[in-house]
Amino acid sequence: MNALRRHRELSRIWASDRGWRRPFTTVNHSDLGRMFMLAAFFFFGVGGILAMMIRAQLATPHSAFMEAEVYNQIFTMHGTVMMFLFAIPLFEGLAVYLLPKMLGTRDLAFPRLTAYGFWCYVFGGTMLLLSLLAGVAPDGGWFMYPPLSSTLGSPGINPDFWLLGITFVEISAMAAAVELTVSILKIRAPGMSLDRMPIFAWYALVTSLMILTGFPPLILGSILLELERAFGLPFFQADLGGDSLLWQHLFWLFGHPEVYIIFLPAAGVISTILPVMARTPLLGYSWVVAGAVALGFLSFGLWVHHMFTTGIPHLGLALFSAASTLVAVPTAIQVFAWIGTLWKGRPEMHMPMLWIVAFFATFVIGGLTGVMVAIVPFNWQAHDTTFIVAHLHYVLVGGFVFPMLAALYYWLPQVGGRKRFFKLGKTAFWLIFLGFHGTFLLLHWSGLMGQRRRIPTYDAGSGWELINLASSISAFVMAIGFALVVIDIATNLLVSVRGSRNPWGAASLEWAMPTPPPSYNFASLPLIHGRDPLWSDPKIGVAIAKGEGFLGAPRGNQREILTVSTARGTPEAMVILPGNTALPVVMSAVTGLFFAGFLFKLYWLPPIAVVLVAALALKWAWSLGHRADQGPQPVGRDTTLPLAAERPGAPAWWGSVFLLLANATLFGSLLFGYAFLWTIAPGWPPPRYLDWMPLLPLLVLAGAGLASPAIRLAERRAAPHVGLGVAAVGQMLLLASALWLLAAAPDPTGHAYGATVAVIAGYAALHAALALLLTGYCLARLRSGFVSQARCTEIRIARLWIDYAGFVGIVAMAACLAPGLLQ
Amino acid sequence: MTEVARIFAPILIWLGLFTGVYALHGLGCGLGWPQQDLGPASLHRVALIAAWGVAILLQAAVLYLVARPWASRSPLIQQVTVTLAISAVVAMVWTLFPVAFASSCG
Repeated sequence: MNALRRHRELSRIWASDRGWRRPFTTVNHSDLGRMFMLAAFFFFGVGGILAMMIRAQLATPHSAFMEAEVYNQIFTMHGTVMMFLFAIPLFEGLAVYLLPKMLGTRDLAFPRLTAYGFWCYVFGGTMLLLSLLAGVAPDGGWFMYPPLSSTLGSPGINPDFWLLGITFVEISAMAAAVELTVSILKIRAPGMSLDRMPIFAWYALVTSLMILTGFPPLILGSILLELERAFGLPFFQADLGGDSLLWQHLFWLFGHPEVYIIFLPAAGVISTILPVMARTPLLGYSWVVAGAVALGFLSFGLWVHHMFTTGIPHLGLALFSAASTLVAVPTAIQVFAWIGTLWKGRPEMHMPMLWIVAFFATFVIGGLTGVMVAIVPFNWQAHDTTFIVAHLHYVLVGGFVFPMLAALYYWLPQVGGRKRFFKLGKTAFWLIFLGFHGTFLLLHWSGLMGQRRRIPTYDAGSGWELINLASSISAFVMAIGFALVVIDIATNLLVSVRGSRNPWGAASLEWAMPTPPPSYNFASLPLIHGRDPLWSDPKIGVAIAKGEGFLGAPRGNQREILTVSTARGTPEAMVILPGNTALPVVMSAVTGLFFAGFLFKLYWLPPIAVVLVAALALKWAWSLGHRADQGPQPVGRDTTLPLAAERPGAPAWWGSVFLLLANATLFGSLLFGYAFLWTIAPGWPPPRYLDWMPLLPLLVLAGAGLASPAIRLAERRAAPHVGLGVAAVGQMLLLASALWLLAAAPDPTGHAYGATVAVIAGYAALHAALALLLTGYCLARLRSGFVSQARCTEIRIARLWIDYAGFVGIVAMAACLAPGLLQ
Repeated sequence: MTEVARIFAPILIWLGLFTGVYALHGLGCGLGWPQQDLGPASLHRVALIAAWGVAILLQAAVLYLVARPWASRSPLIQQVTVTLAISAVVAMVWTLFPVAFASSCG
């Protein structure tokens, strides 16, 4: 087969639908990555307009531009939009678009999941925007502290939009994190071992794992606060055994890692672009990897430094102050590696490099003021002042927006296939860079002079007038700069001449394909021999196009990719990916009904939505697989491999593993909250604890003890029907015990203890029901011939969930009965 | 996948132990340990310093385990893992040293 015919065949197989259906049915990672990034930039524009409104309000004392109530909504939505609807989705979009290309493959592991995540993001974000247009936007700050955000402080619908809208959007983050983690670990070009992986993939891996473990505490907090608002479960009300500080713990358990979730992808972009601009490999690759991992996970030990003024004991302050100073070390390692790379190479000052220089100048200042606020006495002085506003903008704009602008200019020729011709970007750069520092450098001083954050106005004669006026003028200069970037990008994309394939002389595989990229990325999957494939073999693109790699012979309508062993990159199996479908957009719309039901207090709607989502999920899963063993498949280069579904360790199994990791983090956060209330909150002990229930442990242990061995029996195919049947009985016992615990719980509205027991029991019941559903699904697949000795991925996945449901049942029972026993 | 787990293990163990000692601090405050003397110091101080010592020993044990020359087949993975394990020991000493002197529940 010649290259042209291969291109036509692969284009037919991998193409998205044409016309208006395309955005709704595409599951192609390039399409979805672009859609993610476009939506994120749209929300950046919205957040930017809100920022300009804030600066217009604060430009002069006693401004009449906005009422205080409107101002509260504007600053709350500015923070919310920028953090949840711009920064995280932009990372997701960039990673979804770039990673398969960098990793030398044709798509991500779960294309439909990417599409589902995208639509959850769009629908959730739209929900928040509608609240703004309707004048009922959240107004309690982007951190939603109760009691300000509970029914005591905000009886209206405003905080519900935040709690439900953000949780809806977070589905997108979790979906992307599972997708990216599995793809980076399992879906790479053959030969791409971990030590040959592009540095951006390391950063994306750490970021994805951080999302999986960082977002669940916030999701839990949002669920608890919404339960308090909707049904009166008093988790955060001190007079009923709750504690508003619990929210702060849960929020900042998410909120601090969030800063690094935002920074690390940007650092990955810098580690990718800077060596290309400096024309030399990255200095200290292994140190940079270690720095990224250390930074990511040290950041989970810092959350209390956002709570230094809440009256927590001195020892707690000292522990988290020490940890906060420590995090500067891995950051500095990366900065020194970048400086060393520049020193070693011969840097060229193109547009991406200009933005990287801006990053250095800005982020280092933000990092140093970060060390200042990590020191407790200074923190007490600067807390809630505009000094913190300045610090966080230096970190987030310097550490994320500027590197993303570098990324925009660096990958623009790859996305559009055009050579940059119009030079408006340089003018835009200076307007943004000078406008940014004019806006925020001065706010350090106004903060030190005592100007509080979030105030809608201030008195004349406070000494802050000139600073605020200069800051506001600079902010508008910056906004003009961003508008020029949009014009620059649009004109270059639309009217510039076509460019060459690898204009920067880069080393990574995304430049080894035609630009703009074809829907299938690579005509054949390359065999990788080093970390910089295009530098070691500049002709690799030709070999790929000639079909000299793997999967160079298209078959039927099959969208084929390979899985590899995690560490060494040895080919393991072939995966056939699903094609275009509207299922993700339909399922995310139905998911939206669940949230809409709670938002508008139509409590009959969420159960219907749950049933519909479950039905769609079953349809989703049912469409995959074969009714007969396919055996080893030829994949090119004289190699045959089994299908991934016909061997252990399929991508779907790993997806469940990482989803369970996130799920276990949520459960752990729930137990942490329970222990926190029990030991710290005022208003304990409650009027009564659960009495000892001797039959309950027997029921739980019998359920878990039956289900786990039985599913193993089914997996070994010794007696699959019997094994699945017994596992179902075990799940029923677990479900019954969880419901019994729920019924026995003290009044959930009377005290936080009863509320917590109800949530723990509900969580256990949900997981028992889920495991039961999966067991039933496996039985149906078995009866329909989709499961055999070789094809039993469904049962392997069910085993994971059944084991987890048993574990949850036992821990939930012990946690709920323990206080009564210890009393 | 064990190679990936090995990279992340040292720093995750630091996180778990750091959070565990912080939880022990909260538990001790809740149970009134600072008011109970154990020799020259309070029960709370003794428990926290003991926990710190145990945490350092555990983290050092992790370093010993991952630093063995046959622990990983990939030089890069080995180097990253050992670097992170050393960092985790340093982090354990540095981040928990306040348990030795800071006032515990005030």
